[in-house]
Amino acid sequence: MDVQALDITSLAAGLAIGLGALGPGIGIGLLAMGAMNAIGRNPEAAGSIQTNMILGIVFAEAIAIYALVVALIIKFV
Amino acid sequence: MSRILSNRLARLFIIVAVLVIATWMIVSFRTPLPAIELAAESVIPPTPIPILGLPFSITNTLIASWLSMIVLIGFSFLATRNMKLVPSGLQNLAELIVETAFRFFEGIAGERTARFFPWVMTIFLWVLVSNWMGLLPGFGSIGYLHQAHEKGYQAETLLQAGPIHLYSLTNEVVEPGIQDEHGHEKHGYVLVPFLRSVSSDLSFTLALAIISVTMTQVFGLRTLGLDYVNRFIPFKSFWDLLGGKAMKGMDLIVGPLELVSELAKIISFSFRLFGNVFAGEVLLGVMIFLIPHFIPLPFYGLEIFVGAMQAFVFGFLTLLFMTTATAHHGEDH
Repeated sequence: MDVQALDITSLAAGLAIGLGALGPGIGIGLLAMGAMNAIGRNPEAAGSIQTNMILGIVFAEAIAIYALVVALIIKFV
Repeated sequence: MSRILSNRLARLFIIVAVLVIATWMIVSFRTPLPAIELAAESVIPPTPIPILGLPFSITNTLIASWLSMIVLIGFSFLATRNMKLVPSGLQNLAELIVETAFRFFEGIAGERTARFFPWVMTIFLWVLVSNWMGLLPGFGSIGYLHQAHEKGYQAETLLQAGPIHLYSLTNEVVEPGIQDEHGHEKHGYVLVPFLRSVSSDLSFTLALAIISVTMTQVFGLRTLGLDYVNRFIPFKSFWDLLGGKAMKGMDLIVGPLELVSELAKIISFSFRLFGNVFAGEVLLGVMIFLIPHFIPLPFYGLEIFVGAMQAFVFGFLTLLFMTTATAHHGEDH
């Protein structure tokens, strides 16, 4: 391998999205756990719990999307 | 009796025909790794607009967005062409979709639903139709071949009828500078598809996000007037602060933060939809490249779900932000 031409932008992009997805992944897991617990306790409220769970997941997911943006910028721009 | 028999024969014929076509496609088409291009590719070369001097080009996502508009407008035209009090056929379907959505939105926005509904439902339906249309066969797989500057793929002739040439890309990678046995330089090609999923273009999602956030501000200003401005520039808090109510002065710090969060909405709206759809396209392309037959099916199903989910989320969040923007301060307490 030509050491002088070693290009690690792919590695950087991979790390950016990989590490960036870690937190939101845990967050979404916690959110779903809480929602499942709630539905188990009170099945009648499943509808509104689901809507609110999706809302929470969307905000957690937004963090992963910022990481995706950074990864895309590193890789393509 | 003979009609049932001919029906069966027709069905059998269709099944056999589909199987034959599928076998032909499996045998004759290779699936190279798709060229992952962040920006939408131009189908016609960019030409400057005479007066403005700006480059104008028709991209494949633009054509796909026109197609999805045609589908939506055509459907609503056909459904409302002769409206009856007792609906039937397409009108029935349209009423079912609109009424179900309206009921659901009413649970969040209450009496203000009717004002927000046109915006929210248009965004939802358009994103849904364009996301699902982007999964149809032909999107991202049919196009013209472009000579690659870097790594490309060998093209082979599939069909030749007069001036029409049909090519198919093979799996054979052509690096630049490789020569064939006659000493000519070999050319690799990449595919520039005619159609591409609309939401995999940031311009589309950004435009939708700007429309959504702008309309939220318009609704907020129309309903609350100066009270809405007070959220961001808390001039009322100055008087509270002078009057010795220090806690009310907190609004001075919260106001600018609210302003920033309005701008952040545009970013998260646009990149959420773009990121999900673009990642889905890449995922499907890579899966089809790795194992071309049957294995990518579950991922295809996942993409159908993600497409519907993101359309729902876009519409739902727009509705939610509009509702909070028009709520009076401290209404909930």
